[in-house]
Amino acid sequence: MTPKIENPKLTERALTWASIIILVVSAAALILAVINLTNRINERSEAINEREDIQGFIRDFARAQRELLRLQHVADTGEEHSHGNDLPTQRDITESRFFILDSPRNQERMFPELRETYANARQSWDDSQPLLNDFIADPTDEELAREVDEALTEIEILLNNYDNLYSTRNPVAAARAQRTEDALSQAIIIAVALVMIFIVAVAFNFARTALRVSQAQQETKRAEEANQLKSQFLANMSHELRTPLNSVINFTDFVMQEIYGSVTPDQLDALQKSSKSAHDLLGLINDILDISKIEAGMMELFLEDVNLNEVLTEIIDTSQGLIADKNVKLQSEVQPSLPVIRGDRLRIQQIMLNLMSNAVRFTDEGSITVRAHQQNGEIRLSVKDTGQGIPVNEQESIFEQFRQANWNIKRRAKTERGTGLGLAITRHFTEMHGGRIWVESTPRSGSTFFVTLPLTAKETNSS
Amino acid sequence: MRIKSLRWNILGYALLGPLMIAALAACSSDDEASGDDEPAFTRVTEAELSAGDDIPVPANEEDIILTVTGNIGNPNQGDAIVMDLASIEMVGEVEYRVVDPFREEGDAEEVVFRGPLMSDLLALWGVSQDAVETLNVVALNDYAVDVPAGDLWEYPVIFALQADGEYMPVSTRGPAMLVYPYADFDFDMDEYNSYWVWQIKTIDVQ
Repeated sequence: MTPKIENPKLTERALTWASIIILVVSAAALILAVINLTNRINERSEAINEREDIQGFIRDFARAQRELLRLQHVADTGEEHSHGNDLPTQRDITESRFFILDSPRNQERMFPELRETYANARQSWDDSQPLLNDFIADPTDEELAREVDEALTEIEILLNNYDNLYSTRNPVAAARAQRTEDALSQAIIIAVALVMIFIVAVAFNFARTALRVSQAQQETKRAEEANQLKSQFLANMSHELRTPLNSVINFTDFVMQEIYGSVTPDQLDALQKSSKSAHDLLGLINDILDISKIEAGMMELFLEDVNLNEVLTEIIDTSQGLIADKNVKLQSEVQPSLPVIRGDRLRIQQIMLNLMSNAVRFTDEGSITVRAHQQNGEIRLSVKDTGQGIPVNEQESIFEQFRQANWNIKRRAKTERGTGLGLAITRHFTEMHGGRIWVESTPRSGSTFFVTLPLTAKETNSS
Repeated sequence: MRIKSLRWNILGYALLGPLMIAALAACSSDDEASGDDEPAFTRVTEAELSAGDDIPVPANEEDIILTVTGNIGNPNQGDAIVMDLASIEMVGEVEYRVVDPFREEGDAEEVVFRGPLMSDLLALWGVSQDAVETLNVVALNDYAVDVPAGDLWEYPVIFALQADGEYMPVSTRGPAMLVYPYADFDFDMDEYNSYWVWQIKTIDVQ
């Protein structure tokens, strides 16, 4: 569970900055691309307009040419055109087409070569008018008819130049339009690419965060599972240890009680030491069992009505034995007739016993005072000693399991050390009841451990 | 930060949105006002011939410049109406200035077109405003286009006979030409240019 990133905070910050820079650069590029694209589109629409303009007057040319051809047809055949227009009318219709080509609108749009060739056609048309009038006056004159036909053909050829000129002109226009289109698609590709980079950057950023979160969650889960497995193993092991140990204790007791015959004082002394060690070991195993159960979530409270006065009397009686060989006075300031509370009697006993043995262990002389009274709807219990006290910076951590205050380890003989589990278990049991535990202490003048218990314990498992 | 900027966005739209709507409303109401305040045309001659009157048949058949057929209620020659310049002018003429879209563009010089309103002609011809949707207008060269009838009732479209005070000969798109009031109303030129039919010969009411 060692972190893969050496300095996660620094790396994370660098990544965040990199993401921000990528986003800012992408956004800037995107804006530039959009501006570029807009320009391209404007250029393109200008090009399209230009082409439409060309097409516009090309259309007018084509219409003029068509009417000219109709005129020629009417002149040639001497018959009226199929639309029912006679020669003068068709002449006027043709003239109206020149009238449109003459207009500023079309003249401005013609490129110079075309304007020149149109001017020639227009001139020839004007020049042919007297001839046309003569022919209208005498449509039977074949010589006139031939001259009219020649004149109209000449105009038609001149007019037809628009087509050739447009064709030569067109490749240029077409190429330019093509270039614009190329540039346009290029700009679109760039813009799309930038948008995609932007999206990828955002997605990458998002994915990275999500991945980190899920990795952390997985690691936490694995750690929790491993811890629970360990706790379960310890719980099973403790049980297996306890059974043979109980046999040792029981049979030692039987021997000491001379069930198997008389025991000499030396033997009794040895047996007593043996029994005490076995009891110590049993206590240790019980502690481990308890803490393992708590951690595995298997610890449950068995709620019953608990008479605290009774419990405390028993505790004080038991503790008399603990201080027998010490110059320590045991005092009790218990409020008589405390209310009966709802809780786990055994665990409450364990809480008090742990606090008492703790006090005894660290107090060489002076007094140990047990207090109990009802306050603000809860029971407040305390065990005050006149021992060496606990430094302020360690007052919190002593309630964590396997943790023993440094002063404890340094100054105490090995036999007097606890397991480091007692206060942790006490805290768990207290909290399972819905109570609180804390210590107030002045180094070298003693400590007071406080425990509060609600009148009714919550129905809850250990966390 | 994202939420904050979003909030600014929303605030921006909340502030700008009503302003823009107000501006748009102001613009459009301006448009309407300019359209409503004064008629887009000047009346030049009063009507001597109007809805319900008999349409005089031209004395000389060669003078006929317009033949109207189809869904009409006031025929004067068989099922059709035939008219010459004089009878058309009797409907009463109006005029207005407008840029000739086929010869000029933008802020170019305007031309004064003169002729009767199409709506007056339709009324004279006994054309039903409800039943008729299009007029098929045919030119001398057989160019034909379906002109929406609704516009002719709604806008002062001129059946133009004169441009800048002179009758239009065929050589300058006469004898008659449809003219739309581009100067006073916002028409889509791509569509409406095709309705400016020149050298009108016949109209079939559909």
